[in-house]
Amino acid sequence: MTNVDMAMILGPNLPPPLAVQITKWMADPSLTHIPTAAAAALLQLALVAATLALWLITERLLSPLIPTLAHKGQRGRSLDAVLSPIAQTLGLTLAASLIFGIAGLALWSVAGLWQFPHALPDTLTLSTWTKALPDLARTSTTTLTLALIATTAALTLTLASLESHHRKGTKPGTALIFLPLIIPQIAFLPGLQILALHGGAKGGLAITAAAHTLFVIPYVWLSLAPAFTAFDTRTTLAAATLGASPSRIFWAVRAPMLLAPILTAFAVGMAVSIGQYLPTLMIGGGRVETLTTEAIALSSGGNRRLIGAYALMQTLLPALGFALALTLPRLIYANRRTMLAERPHI
Amino acid sequence: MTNGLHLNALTISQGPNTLVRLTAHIPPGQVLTIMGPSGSGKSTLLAALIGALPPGFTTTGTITLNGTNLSPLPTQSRQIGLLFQDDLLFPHLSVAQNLGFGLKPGGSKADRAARIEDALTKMDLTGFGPRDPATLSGGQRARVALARTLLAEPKALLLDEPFSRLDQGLRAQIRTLVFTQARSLPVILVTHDPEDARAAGGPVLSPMGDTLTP
Repeated sequence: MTNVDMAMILGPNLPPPLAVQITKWMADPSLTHIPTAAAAALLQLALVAATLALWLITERLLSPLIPTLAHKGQRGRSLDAVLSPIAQTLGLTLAASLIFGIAGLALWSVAGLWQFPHALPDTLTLSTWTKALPDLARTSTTTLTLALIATTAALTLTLASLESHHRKGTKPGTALIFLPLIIPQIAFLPGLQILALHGGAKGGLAITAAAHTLFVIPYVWLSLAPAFTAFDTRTTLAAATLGASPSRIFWAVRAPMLLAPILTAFAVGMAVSIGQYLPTLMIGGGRVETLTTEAIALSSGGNRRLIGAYALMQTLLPALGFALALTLPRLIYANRRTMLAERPHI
Repeated sequence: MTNGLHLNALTISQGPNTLVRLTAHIPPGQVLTIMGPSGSGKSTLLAALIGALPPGFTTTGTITLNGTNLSPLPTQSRQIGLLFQDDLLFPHLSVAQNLGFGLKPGGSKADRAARIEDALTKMDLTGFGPRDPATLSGGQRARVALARTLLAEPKALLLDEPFSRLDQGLRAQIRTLVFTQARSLPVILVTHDPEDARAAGGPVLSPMGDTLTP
C-alpha cells in the first residue's frame, strides 16, 4: 500500500497509486505541488492507520474464537486434506515465479537477437554485461558501501542496546524502533529530506547511509533480538563467577556464541539497505545511484537486457550476504557440535 | 575467626516473605549443606552469595569472605566459584579453552598450557584439551566444569545441586571428587537430596536456619 518502487513497475500509470502520485508531486520541479504532496502524505498516513485499526479490530473479534474451538476439541483433521495441497501449490507457485522471474532476467541479460515468437534467444552474448560493466561496477560499489555503513551502524546500535538492557535487567521499549516500519516512507521521508537540507546536508553518501540506517534498524532488531533474549543467562553467570567482567563476557562468550544470528541479522540488514529505493532517491538528492534506483529508472525504458543485468546484480549481492551468513559459522565452528545444531542449546 | 565464609544474620526477603534467615561460619574445608524443597529459597541464597540477586529482593546482614565484605562487590570480583546443575561449558570453546577462560591473566603461554593440562590430569582427563565439549560424556563434562571452576582459584565454592543430573553410579564418584578437590575451601552445598547432605559430612540447615538431620 505504501510501496513506491514496486508500484511504479507493476502498478497502473494513470491514475497511479497514491504513494507513486505523492512521489511525483514531491519531485515536481515547479514546487507548486509540494502542499498537495504534504496533504496527500497525511491522507496516506490516515489510510495506513485505518488499515492497521481494521486489522486490530478483526484480531480482537476473532481471537476469542480460537480458545473456543480448542475447548470443543475439534481436531479439524479433515481440513488438512484440503488445505495442505492448496498451501503447497501456493508456496510452489510463489517460489517458481521468483525463480523463473530471475531466470528470465538472467536470460535477457545474455540475449543477443531474440525475435518473436522464438521461445529462446537466437544468439547468446555477453555484450550487455561488457557494455554495462563500468556502470554496474560503480553502482554496485555505491550500493555495497551504503549497505555496509548502514548495516554496521544498525547492528552496533542494536547490539549495544540489547546488551545494555541485558546488563540492567530491563526490557527494551521497541515501539519507537518499529515506527519506520509502520509509518509510510512517503509520509515522513520528505520531512526528513527537508530536515537534512536545513542541516546543511545536500544529499551525499553519508546522509543517505544515515537514512538507510533508520530503515535497517527495525529489521536487524527483529532478526537479532529473539536470539539475544533467549540466551541462557546461566552461561553468562558461569562466566562471571569465573572472574570475567561484563565486557569480557560480551566479547568472549555472548557475541561468539551468537555469531550465527548476528551474521544473519547483518545479511538481513544488507538486503534491506540494498533494496531501499525512496530513501536513496529523496535523501540522496538524486545524486546517489544504487543498483535499486538504477534498475527502477531503467524499468520505465524498454531495455530488458540492461534491466536483466541490473536486476541480477541486485539479487546477487543480498544472496551473497546470506550465503556468507550461513557458511561462516559452519567453517568457524566446524569442530563444535553444539554450535552447529539447528537451534543451538545455549 | 576471619578465615572462611561468614553469613552474619543474613536475611533475604521478597515483599513480606522472608525466604532466607541464616547465621553461619564455614571455615575452609567444611561443607555447609542447605537443604529444602524447590521454591524454599535455596537458589535465592546462592544468587545473593554471588551477587546476582534479581531486583525485588531485600537483603539485610552481611556476607564476608576471609574478612572481606562481599556486599559491594560485583559477581566477577567475589572470588566465589559456582558449580551448576548443568555443566554450562562454553560450547564455542575447546575443553582447554574452557579451562583457560577462568585462569588468571598473566604467565607465559607454555605455563598456562601446563597448568591446564595439569588440571585435566587431576580430573583423569589427560589429553582431552583439544576436544569439543559436546563430544564428552556427562561425567567427563562434570569433571571439566569442576576443573574450570577450581582453576579460577576461588576462595569459596558453591554447589547448586551439581550431582542431580548425573546417573546413580556416577553421582557418588563425582561427589567424592568434588569434596576431595575442594577440601581447602569453604563450601556451601544446596540440595534437596539427603544422600548429598550425608556425603558432605558437615552441618545441614534449612534456608531459614533450622538444623536438619538428613
